[in-house]
Amino acid sequence: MPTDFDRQLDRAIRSMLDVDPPRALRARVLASLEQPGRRTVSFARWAAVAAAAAVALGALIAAPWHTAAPPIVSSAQVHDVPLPASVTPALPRVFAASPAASRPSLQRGAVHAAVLAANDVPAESGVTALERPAALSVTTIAPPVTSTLPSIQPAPLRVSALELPALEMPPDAARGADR
Amino acid sequence: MDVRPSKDRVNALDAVEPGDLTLVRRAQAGDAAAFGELVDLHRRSVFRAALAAVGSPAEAEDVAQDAFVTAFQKLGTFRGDASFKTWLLAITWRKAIDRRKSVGRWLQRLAAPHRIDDERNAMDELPGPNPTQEETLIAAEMQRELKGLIASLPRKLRDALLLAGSDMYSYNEIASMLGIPIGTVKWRVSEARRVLKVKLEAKGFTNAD
Repeated sequence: MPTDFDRQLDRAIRSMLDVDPPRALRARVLASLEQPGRRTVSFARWAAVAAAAAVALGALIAAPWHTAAPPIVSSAQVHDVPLPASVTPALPRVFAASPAASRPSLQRGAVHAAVLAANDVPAESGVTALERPAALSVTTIAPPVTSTLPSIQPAPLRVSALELPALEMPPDAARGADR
Repeated sequence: MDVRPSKDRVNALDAVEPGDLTLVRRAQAGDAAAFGELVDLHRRSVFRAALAAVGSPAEAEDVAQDAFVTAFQKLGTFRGDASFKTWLLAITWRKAIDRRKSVGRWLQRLAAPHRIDDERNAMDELPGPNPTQEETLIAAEMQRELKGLIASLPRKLRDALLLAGSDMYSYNEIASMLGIPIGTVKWRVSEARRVLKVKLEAKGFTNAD
């Protein structure tokens, strides 16, 4: 259905600007003139600024880098943890020797558990203390059995002497040669 | 499309001027009440110019107040070469543009994204008398689309279109506010309308003429 664009456009513009100024504008202006250093600012403006600050603060708090994560302990700190005799001291070294980036969660859990065990603190955080690992048994690796093959002797080479037949010259060729 | 200001508009503007001059002289002499009268006389045109620039009534109120205070402080420099309204609107527009460029404004808009183009007034969107239901729906839909399209126009086109379309300012006053020749103002208004019509047609609306 056709519509008059110009008429609709004029109506849209007028409706966008059809807002009357507050009647208190004169009073605000005159108040500002009487107190030149102090400017009367609307409550809405201050409320908007306060809300903006709150939004910014909320965004900072909710930012992903502020999520609670266990502190990452460097390998040097792992070595310094005093472990009781019941804990195998080789375990943190195993993790320290491995690349930290490859399994960060495992390393953090292991370090946390090691610290709990060292301080005899009950595992309230849900991380249980490490137990002594079972003794590792490594069987000696036998060298593979190899079978020797008999060497192959090449047969001696034999070269038979060539036997050339005696050459006979035809009679015509013998005459031409005499000339 | 006739882009010239109507005769009534020009006559109304001229009619205000003699009273303005008297009040300005009294205000220049230190009569705050006279300046208060000037505020009352021009608060609507100042406020709507600011509204056209910043788009938010709350911000436009602040801009208007700031413009009036600045005008009072600089009243001694007003020589009467142009009308007081033209001089005041030029101050208003500079304040509004400063406001539009300010960093603090972005923070405020982040918290309170209320804009004039977000306002929905059902009565404004109704077509003429005795419309059919279909006409009513199309007109309301077109109004919504138009407000969004106007808001998305380039600032130079949008400023000229809104100021001219408000029917509150002569092209001379708009040119003085924007600091451009009158011919450029007219071209921008015409171009803005052309762009909007093209976009409306692209959205499936059909022009009647």
